[in-house]
Parts: sequence; C-alpha cells; structure tokens
Amino acid sequence: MSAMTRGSVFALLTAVVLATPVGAAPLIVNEFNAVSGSNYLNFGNATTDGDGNSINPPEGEVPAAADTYFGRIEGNGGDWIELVVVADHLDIRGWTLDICNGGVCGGDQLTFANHIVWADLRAGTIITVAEDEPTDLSFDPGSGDWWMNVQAQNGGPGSYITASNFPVNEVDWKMSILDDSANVVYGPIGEHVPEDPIAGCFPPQDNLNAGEIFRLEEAPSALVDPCIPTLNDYEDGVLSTFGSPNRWNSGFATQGFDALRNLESFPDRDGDQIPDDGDRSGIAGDTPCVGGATAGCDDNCAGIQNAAQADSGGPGGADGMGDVCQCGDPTGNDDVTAADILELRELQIGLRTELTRPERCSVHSDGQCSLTDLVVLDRTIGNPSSDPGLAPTCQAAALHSDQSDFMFDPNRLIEVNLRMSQADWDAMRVEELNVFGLITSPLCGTAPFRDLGPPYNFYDTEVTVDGKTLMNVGVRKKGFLGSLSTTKPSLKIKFDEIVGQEKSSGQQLNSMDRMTLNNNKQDTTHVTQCLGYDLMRQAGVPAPRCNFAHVTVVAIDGPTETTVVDGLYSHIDSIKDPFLRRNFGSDSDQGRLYEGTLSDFWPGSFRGTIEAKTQTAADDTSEIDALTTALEDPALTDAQRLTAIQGLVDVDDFLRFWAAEGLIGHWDGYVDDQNNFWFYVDPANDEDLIRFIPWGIDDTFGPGNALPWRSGDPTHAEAIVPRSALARRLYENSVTKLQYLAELQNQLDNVWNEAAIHAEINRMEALITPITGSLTTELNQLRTWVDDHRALVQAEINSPPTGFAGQPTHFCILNP
Amino acid sequence: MHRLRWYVLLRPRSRLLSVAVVAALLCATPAIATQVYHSPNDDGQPAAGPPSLPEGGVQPVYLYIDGGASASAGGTACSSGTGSEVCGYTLTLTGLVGLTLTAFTPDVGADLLYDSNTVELIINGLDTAAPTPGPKRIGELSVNAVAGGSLELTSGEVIGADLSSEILSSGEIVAVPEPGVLLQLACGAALLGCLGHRRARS
Repeated sequence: MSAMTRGSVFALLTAVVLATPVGAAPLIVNEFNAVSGSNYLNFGNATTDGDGNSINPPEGEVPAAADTYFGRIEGNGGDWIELVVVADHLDIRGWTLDICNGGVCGGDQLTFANHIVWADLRAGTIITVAEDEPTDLSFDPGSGDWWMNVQAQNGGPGSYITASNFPVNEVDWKMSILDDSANVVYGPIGEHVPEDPIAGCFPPQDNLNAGEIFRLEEAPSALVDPCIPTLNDYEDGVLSTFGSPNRWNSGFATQGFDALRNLESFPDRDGDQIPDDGDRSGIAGDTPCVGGATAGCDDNCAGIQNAAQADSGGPGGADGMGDVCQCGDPTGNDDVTAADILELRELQIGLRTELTRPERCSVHSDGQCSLTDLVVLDRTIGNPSSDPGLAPTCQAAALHSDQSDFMFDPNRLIEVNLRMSQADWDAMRVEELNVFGLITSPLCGTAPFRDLGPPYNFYDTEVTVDGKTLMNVGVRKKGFLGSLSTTKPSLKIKFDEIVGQEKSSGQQLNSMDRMTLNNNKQDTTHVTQCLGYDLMRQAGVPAPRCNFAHVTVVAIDGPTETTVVDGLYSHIDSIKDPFLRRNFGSDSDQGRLYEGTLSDFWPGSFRGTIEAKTQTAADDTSEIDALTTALEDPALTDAQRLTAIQGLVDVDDFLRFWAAEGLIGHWDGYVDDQNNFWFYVDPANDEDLIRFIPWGIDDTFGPGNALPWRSGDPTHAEAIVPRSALARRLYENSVTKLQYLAELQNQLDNVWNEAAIHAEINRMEALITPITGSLTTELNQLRTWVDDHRALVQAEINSPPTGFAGQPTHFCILNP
Repeated sequence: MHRLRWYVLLRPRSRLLSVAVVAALLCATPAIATQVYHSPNDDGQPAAGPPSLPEGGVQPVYLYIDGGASASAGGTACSSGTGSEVCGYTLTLTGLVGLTLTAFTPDVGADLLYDSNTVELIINGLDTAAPTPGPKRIGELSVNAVAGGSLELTSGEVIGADLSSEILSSGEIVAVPEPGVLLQLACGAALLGCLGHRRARS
C-alpha cells in the first residue's frame, strides 16, 4: 500500500483520533478492505482459500471466499472504503475521511470536493472510495442502483475527492469522518480503537488480519454507534461485498437497507418537507432538528408545519421542541420566559380562568397542566441545564410523539424478526388457558377468565422491526380459544417490558410501546381482520387499525439457530392509552376500560367475567352495575328501561357498533356471542357513557354463528342476531329497533361497497401472497360472500327476524 | 395529613394531652406531612397549644409552611430530591364565622403571588432555585378577630423535592375562642397552677 500526501494538520488529527468515538452520524463507515496486496481473501491462492475451499467447489460444498464484485482476486480490489449515507438529503461537500494508519495518525486525508454530486445524497446510498476502481457515479435509486464509486489516487483529476492514494490495512488502521468544519461526525472506527469507560465508550476490538475485511453487521442507521457494542456489530470476516449490502453468518445474513431506502415509508405528516424521522433511525423524534438544520434530523414539530425548524424558544435556547409547538409556553409567543410562569401562577390563584395556550402547559410527565409543571418550568428557567428539563408532554407537541400511523400504514408489510432462546420458545408456545377446564370449574363466572387461568409469561427477546433492532424486549403468547396455536402463536410484543422486573424500560418503536400480532389461524384468507376493522371504522366505530406483518421467530440453542415461525400475521392496534386518546380524546387515567370475554351486562357469570383493565376501572364499576340492573329488571317498561340505558350507554354509538358487527358477519362478537369486545366508560362531557370497541374479528365474512345450538335463537339469522342483553333490550323497544334497522340500512348503503371491497381484497392479496403463497381459493370464497351479502342483509332488514325471548345460558357449566 | 386538623376534633381541655400524643406519633413517623400554621412568636415555631387569637381588633397571624427537616441527601431538590424541601405550593385560606382578612404582607424573601379579599387569601409560592428544609415564612396576615371565628386552610397543594404532589387536608390555622371558652381555659390554667403549687409544697 502506498502512502498518500501528508496533510498539514497533524496535531489536530492526532487529537481527533485519540478522542472518544462519535456515533449517531448521518454518514457511517460500512466496510473496508484489509486484504494486503499480496494476499487473497481468506488467504490461499487464486483458486483455493485458506480453509481449502475451492472457487469451483463440488455441489454442496462451500466455495472459496470471494468478493461479490471483484470475485477472488489478489488484494481483493486494493485499498477501498465503503460508506453509507444515513441521513436523507445529506450534503457532504468538504467532508473528510481521516485515516490513522498503523497507529500513526494525522497524515492521510481524503476530502470530498465541492461538487454537486455530493450536495444532496439520499439515505441508503452506498459510497465506495477506491484507489484502483474507476469512478462510477451512474447512480439511479429509482431503478435500484444505490451505489456510487469514486476513485482517489495520485494524479487523479480531484473533481470528486482528493487526488491521492491512501492506505487501508489490518495493522491498527482506523478512520474518522469529519464534516466541513472539521468536526468529527463519525468514528474513529477500525482496529483497536481505545476504550473510554468514563465516556461509556467500548469500541469493537477485532483483530484484523491481512486476509480479511472489516464490516458492519447490522442494518445501517443513525443508531449505529462505534461506542456501543450492544447496538453495534462491527466484525472482521471474509465475506466481502464491495458496493453492496454486507453479508455475514456464512452468507445467511444480509444488511437490511429497506428502512433507509423506502422513502415513502417515512411520513412527513404535516407536509413541511421535513420528514418525521429525517435521520432514518427508525424512531421519529429521537434526533430533532436544532441549530437551523433541516436535513438529516427529525421534524422538531411533526404535527405543525415549520419548514425552517426554528428552535430557539426553550429555556436557554434550543431544546429540541420546535418553537411552534413549544411546551412551557402558555402565553403562546413561541418562547419560554418568565411571562409563562406568571401566567401559570395567575391561573393557580384564580386571577385568570384559562391560559392563552393551554395546550402548551404540560412540561412534566403526565400531560396535564398542574402545579408540578409550574415548579418544573420555574426551575428550568432558572437553570436551563437542569435535569430533567422541559419534556415535550404538552398537547401542542403530542403529534410530535405519536408516529404510530407509520406502523399501521395499510400498504406496508412489516418485517418482524424475533430471536429468543429455544428453551423460552418451547415454554412460551405451549402456554395456554385451559378453556374447557375453566368452563367446567365451579369458579367459572366468578372472575375474568384471565384471573382464573395461568398467566401468559413474557420472555426476553431480541426484536427487529423493519431493520431496527431492539434488545431486552418482552414477548408473550396471546389468545383465548380459537386462535390458540403451539406452532404459530399469536403474540404480544412489549418493547418496554424488562422480563423479570417491575419497572419499564420506556423503550419504544415509532412511539409504540407494544405490538399485537394475530396469527390468522381462524382466518384462512388472512385478510378479514384488516378488512373488517377498516369497514367498521368507515361506519364510525372506534375500531383498531390493522395491517400485515411478516413474522419470523428464530429459536437459539447454543450455536444452533432454528427458524420456528415464518409466516403472515395481522398487526392489530392494541387497546391501550394511545388507542383511547386517538378515538376518545382521553385515556384510562380519565375514563375506565374493560374487556368482555363470554361476558354481558347480566347478573351472574356474564357479569362476573367482565375484566377491568385498570385499577381505576376495577374500583368503580357503577355504570356496569347500573346497566346490568337496567337490562335485567323485569319490572321496567320499555320506556323506563330505555331512559336508564340512555343514561349509561352512548346509544347512537352502540347502534353503529351493533350494525357493523352484523355487516361484517362478526358472530363471535358482543351482539351475537357475548364475546370479544371491549368497552370504555368515556369521560367526555362528564357523561361517563359506555362506548363499545370491537375485538377478535378473525372469524368473520363467513357463515355466521358456528354454535347454533345456543339457546334462545328463534331464527338463526345471519346479520341481525340481537342475542346479547343490551341488543336484545333495544330490539324489544320498537323505537330503538327501528333506529338500529335504519343504521344497518345506512351502513349497507354507504359502507358496503362491493367494488371497493373487491379492490381492497385484491390489494391485500398482492401484498401478502409473497409470504402466504396462493390464496386464490380462499379469497374467491370471500369474494363470493361479499357479492352475496347485500341481498341477505337487505332481506333481513326488510323482514326482521324475531327477537330473542331471554338471556341465553352462560358457557360456565356450573354457573350458567 | 395536616397536623392542625386534629385540633378541630378535640375539646379544648383535652387538647394539650392529645396534642402531645399526636406530636409523639408524628415524631415517630419518618415521613412528616407538610404543615401550614401560625407561629405566635413569628419564629417558625408553632403554638405550644391550640393556636388561638384573643378576641377583638386586628390581630397578626404569622403564616409558615414546613415540609419537614430532612435535607435532600441524594438527587437534586425540585427534581429528584430525597428530602422534604418545599418547591412550590398553592394555598387557599378562608376566614370563617365573621373573621375577616384585612391585610397580607408577604415575607420579604418569599417568591409569592397572591390574591385576597376580606374572606379569602390564595397564595402561590415558588422556591426552586435552592430550597431549604424546615419552617419557611410565608408572611403576615392581619385578621379581624371576631369571637368564634377562625382562619381555615381550605385547600392546599405542595410540590416536594422529588416533584411529587401533596394535597393538604383542610383544617384550622387559628381560632378566636368564645368568651366562655376563654373563661374555661383560664379556670383550667388556674386549677393546674393550684395543683402544681400544692404538689410543690407537699
């Protein structure tokens, strides 16, 4: 390897190289070639490598090590370095690659020229800098070409990069990336970068040899950090991939670039041209734009247009909250000052009844406006560097933190990979409620089923979602009866669950702390959950969002890794606080949330199986108790009963829910089977009315109730089956019966659009069949059902079936 | 729990003994709730007995707040402190049964914002820069002491060193006894003095 021209900033470079490595950069080192000029990759010769593998091996044997571009050649392409652009629209003009050769730092530099080609690089671009390979800037991401190569050699034109040879080798070789102000933006990375325990920096300590390359073994992102080995995986090896994503693990693992390159997947919800996750880290808002930056960083106010990303309004200046959604600014002048404290104090002592901008009040953790916010604001203004400072917890910044729409984009097929120990997998997959044991137990009906059976346990898992890996995630099985599986279980992923500990890690992915993945066991088409929830939302029902996930589970037993699940799941919105806030504008601290499983508002087992989802909900069940009484009391007239119901239930809301369950054939829901439903005592307007949330719609768009033997069904209709207590009582009332039929007619006329449903089925089929294989037979049955359904429902509306005579018996054998 | 609340529940003659018992209990409890009280000598010490004002004319009430004596040994006060410093509070004081508020002079060193009328005083106090534990003077409230009247803490919230919120129980700050009660107290005191004198002689 030849030496390059010495620079004149030796001292500066020495200081840089000895400094603690810097990560979270917009441009990172991805790979470099340490194979010496006289060696081959993994040593050996032109035809056989050091392990005795041949370039033309017999079938079934491993071939000799070779680069994916150069093949097996002496020197493996000479001196080259591979970089990856992480931040979108990155400008690297004037940026420098600082090389520290053989432990001697300060002499070798390559600077990107002031050329337009470097002015606006897209995230996911691979840049190779090679001494011997001619420049090739034929870069065309639209057709899949994300690679550009630039040649750096003595006597070169210098149009794109310094015209100088440069060394790359295996002896204490390191490099850093400097920006145009000579600030280190990444590195040093290479062999034997010193640790700095005080700074918490533990670079990889690989021992390169002259037959190897050095590469990153994870998806490139802004989270790649040479200081943090748990998130960073630089290794030496012999799988060489000049100009293309790295490969390792005998070629079975390949770097994922989708998260960087799928530009459409990264939303800019306020349309100000600053992506919500501009640094492509996979976590929107983790690197907000400051200091006037508008590229390579996240929108600092993702819900309100602010193209300039102004951020000077925090105490002491920039605080990562854009001025247009500055928390701690109740006066609304985009700046946190003493006037904000005064306004909050005036509110405290009653000199004013409201704040100018109440949505900017909360700077502490609870999102409410309180005396605590005043104290924190006062302290932070007095000492802007105090910890914790102002938090973006006010409503003005709330959009900033909710990026979950991205995760529920219906056009996305999310890639989810779980890695857990074989022992944990074997324990988790067989956990399940013994439902038949439960319904024959004398305790059945005295408590929610979840309280009677063994709990599902969380298991420590490494989770990768679309190339973003999170460690120490809790994963558990889910399911009650029909969806239970020991080979492809439905799953709950809780990103913030630390297995074995009470506390939460606070870990999130795109502002989600959990994912619900249903295995589609009862849904041979795989599409009915997403289709059904979508139609319900169109009908005005607060239904979960849904899209698809390709889930793989790898069970690890020592060196053996076995893929134990590889299939399609439905990704369903979890019924938790973010769902409640989106749909009701409040959460479980304000309202009360319950789940019904074989439950109803009826004395005995139906009432006993209702599960309170929070302590607040358990402490106050007054609406449930009152509604149970109102529905059961035989002495009430229809009018009296309706008055009582209207004081407890949002009846219009329930009529929509009721009609929508029938419309999609959700026989296993509340109205027909008294199962699979949630309800929320909504605190809106201080009315505390019950509102229903659909759940478990994986056996819909099919032939109705599979349990026709259940008592009290006089007609066994398909769409109108008012078996549950609330539906039955409202069906008995001539007024609400007509209102219900009118709502069903409305949904049939305005929501049930066969052409749109067919188009949606076709869209989903194209999206998922690469994973599932052909679904032609199953989906054609669904299409036929969709085509036939309107006539069936219309016939039932025109000639409504007889109502049920009374409450059916409960499934609890001993407590019916 | 607000200490002064106990006085409301007790007859005057049994208060001394009961206060002693309560004080002993409070001393044995590691976490002391924040107190808002009148310090008759304006020295931060609460009254030895039931806090009362003589009837008639304008009388001063020296208001103090005390979250406890423990200084934050770990963390930072008004963030993650472990002590009993008071970082902020909002209090509502109300005159009852004819007791009226005539003036309020906040303590010179206190960072207060307040609003008042003849019946009610609402105070917001902040002390986030370098709060200290122990008694903290709020200011001097002048009241027109009408027999049978009282000054009550009707609502209060305190933010502690760890940013936790403490809702104070409502309770009596001072009371103006009826003349009959005063007479009883005087007799009681004389009786106690007499007994003490006889015991000393024997």
